[in-house]
Amino acid sequence: MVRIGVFVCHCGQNIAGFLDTSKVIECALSVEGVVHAEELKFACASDGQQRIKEAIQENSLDRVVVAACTPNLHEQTFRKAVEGLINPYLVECVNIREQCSWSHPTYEGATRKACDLVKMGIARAKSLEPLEPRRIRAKKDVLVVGGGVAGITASLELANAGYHVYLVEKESTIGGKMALLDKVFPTGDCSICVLAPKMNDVNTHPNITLLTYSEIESIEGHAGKYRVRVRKKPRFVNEYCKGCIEYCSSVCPIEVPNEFDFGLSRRNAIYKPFPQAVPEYALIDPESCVGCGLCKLACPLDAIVYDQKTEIIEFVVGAIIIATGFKPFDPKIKESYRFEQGRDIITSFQLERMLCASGPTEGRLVQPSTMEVPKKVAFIQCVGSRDAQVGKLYCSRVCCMVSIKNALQIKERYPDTDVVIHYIDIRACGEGYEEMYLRAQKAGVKFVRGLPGELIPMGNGVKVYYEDTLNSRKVEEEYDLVVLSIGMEPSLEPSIKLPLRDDGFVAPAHPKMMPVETVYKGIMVAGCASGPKEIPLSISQAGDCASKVMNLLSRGIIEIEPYVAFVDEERCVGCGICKEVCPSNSIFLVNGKAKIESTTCIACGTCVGSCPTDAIAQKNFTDTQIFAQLEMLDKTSEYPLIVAYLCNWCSYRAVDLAGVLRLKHPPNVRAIRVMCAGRVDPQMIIEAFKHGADGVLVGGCKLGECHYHTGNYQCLGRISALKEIFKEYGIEPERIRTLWISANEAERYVEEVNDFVEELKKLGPLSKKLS
Amino acid sequence: MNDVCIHCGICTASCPSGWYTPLVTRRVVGGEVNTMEDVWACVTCYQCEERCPREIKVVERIIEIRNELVREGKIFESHREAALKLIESGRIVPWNEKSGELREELGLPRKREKCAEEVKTLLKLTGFESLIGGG
Repeated sequence: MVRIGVFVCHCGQNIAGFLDTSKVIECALSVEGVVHAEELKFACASDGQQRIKEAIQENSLDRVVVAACTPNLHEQTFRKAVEGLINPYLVECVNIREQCSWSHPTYEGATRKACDLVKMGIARAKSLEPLEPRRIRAKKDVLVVGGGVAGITASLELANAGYHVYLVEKESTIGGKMALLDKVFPTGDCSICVLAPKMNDVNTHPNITLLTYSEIESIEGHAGKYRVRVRKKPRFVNEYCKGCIEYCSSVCPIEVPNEFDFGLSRRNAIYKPFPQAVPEYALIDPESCVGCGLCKLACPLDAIVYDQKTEIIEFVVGAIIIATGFKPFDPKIKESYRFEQGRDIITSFQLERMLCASGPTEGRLVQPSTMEVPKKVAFIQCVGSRDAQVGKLYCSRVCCMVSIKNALQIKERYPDTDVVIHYIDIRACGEGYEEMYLRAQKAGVKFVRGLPGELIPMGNGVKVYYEDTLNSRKVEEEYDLVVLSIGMEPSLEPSIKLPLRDDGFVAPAHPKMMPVETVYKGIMVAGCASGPKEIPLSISQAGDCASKVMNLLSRGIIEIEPYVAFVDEERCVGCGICKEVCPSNSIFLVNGKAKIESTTCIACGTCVGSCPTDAIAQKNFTDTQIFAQLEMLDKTSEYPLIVAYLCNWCSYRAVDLAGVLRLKHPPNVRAIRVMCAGRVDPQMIIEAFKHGADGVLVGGCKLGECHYHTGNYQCLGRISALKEIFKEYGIEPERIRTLWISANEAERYVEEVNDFVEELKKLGPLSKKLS
Repeated sequence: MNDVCIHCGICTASCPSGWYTPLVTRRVVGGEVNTMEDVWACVTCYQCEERCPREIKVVERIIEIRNELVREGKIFESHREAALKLIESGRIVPWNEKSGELREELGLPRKREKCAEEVKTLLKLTGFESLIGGG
């Protein structure tokens, strides 16, 4: 007979303020096997953990149920707390904060649901088995994707600490966007002067393998062992090249706009992106090269190789840092600003190149139509930021300071030029930023609060209409040069599959507490890949990522959850379906029986869900453990009653987020967590109905974005088949719903619940139909 | 509606009518009506709405304000005149001999009294007539 202790956390008022915790205790004590139940003010605090330990000893508990926040927050905390007393895997966390107290409109509803979930948790606790975490050997090499300032910093940190780094950069040089800037705020340092030494360090570091002009083809595996495939594009120039560039480019007959100067200059088909490019080799752009062969004749080092081929490079790393940066917003999308319809409308990046001493005008500010120094310059802020019309709701964060910095540069170099910044709000939050704003004002930069409705290019110059919103004055003005202060856009390649936020940037595992971790263990994110950021913050995030990677890999061993699948050989008929659906190729048929390689099993449970003879089970998510929870469903507690099977990665987290955002919704759902929707088999759905559910919701990651690649597709296939069977039996297939959402789509979940509840009400109770 | 305006002034700057009239679109969006002329100066071209970074239904708001003013009997004179013409003739664009001829050329009846009568009935039944008459 088990001896279970139940601990109900108040979380201050976060739980106790919105539901009746004493009722939950009463409810827990009514379940057989519960010998102790108590309320704790903060279960996760050290005194809370201490109380749990004492209660285990006082009452000889052998299992513990903690009803508190989401298991994604403190499951590990409580497992650690009981170490040495009971097996950590005999602790069950029940989510009564995110999924109860924070998410339902009424006290009674939240209390009812909390009682039900605790009873379900107790039932699950009874059926839990002691487990040991898997220890896997971790490769100490690290992949850094993106060679901008974040990627460079992370690579050097790790390389200096003795880790081998593969730095993969898709452009032909490292340095990223920072290498193209003139000065950087708030100090006004020359950007390339502070970055170039680091770029060279990367190039010469014995612990760094630099792969430029290379793209990630695929990443597979898990923390400790990610298999990476990289596609290295041909440069048609080999390492004999010393980057002298004069001989080859001077004979090249081709000229095309130079993308590294944002079209302000022209380059040859054989070129070096910019003078400080690293590595120093030139490259030939096959799109524009006509194959005349002149460069090959001209090269004194015989470095030109026309038949160079794309290379596929494969290696294994223990962890990955994503530092893929951003893409500048394309202002052509904002049609009313007529970019490229007038020569004197340029972007902030074009201005940076112009102001840069090694740029196309060698640092001279010019009005492109006249090539004279402009007398009146305007900056237009928030182009591609804070603008629903172009689908960008977010602030790009750096553009205010970029414009202030550039306005100051212009004022210092050309005191007679009038400089105006058209803004909505000046965001100068950061050390020394407000001071720089003040400096710009003192230098005579004019700040006008109001954006133009449209820009009208003239023969030379640009006509602008705007409202000065501080005095409601409508003004018509002509400027010689207009600079569009463009925002940042996400730029992650689709071959890197990570959960994204609504704005398209990489979603960190927790927006506040885990800003550089992703939901994938061993994959970190630094810099603008997770949203617009200034250089110092990108650098500190890169350092943070590097230290987290070292933390993970330093011992060479990683502990991972022991939720592997295992085969009951007696039941296995050797059909091989499991082998087909396994995303990690961990299943083999040996003598007509399935055999699972537990060291490579990624613990999704898809094989379990697809086994026609129930011969495979997944530890910690066995049928017995899931059905035990269903046994505790209380038909009388809610109508319609919905059982939701939610995957651990996206859908469960979206439901948690709904709580965090306090999006109130009906309390009809009783959620059961699984690792992947692929684990959900038809029997789990049928059993839910048998135990009183009026509807079943199956939640997984978005199709195509499954944490385990294809688990959700497998689940979808099974559910479609089950719905057909339901139809034949006269049960409405609408009672089963699937919801493929990402971890941040809390609102979609809430809409879905509201809608499902309404639909189920219309369908009426299931029992009526069955009788 | 909750106000989500960030006062960027793009609506005012985009308003073709505002360049020649006292209308400051942004302030009307904020519910501020200074002169009788400004809300009536909007020609509902929707340029402000197409460009608003916060997707505010600017024109809808202006129409709401106008409706409220009309209920208070504060209709702009030229609009009242147009409304009276509508009540009188049942037509937005008054019929004349020339338009009659044009209609005949296009194979349409010279004048259709029935429709205009129906419009007049509708205006009466919906209270439009008394609303405007009170102005």
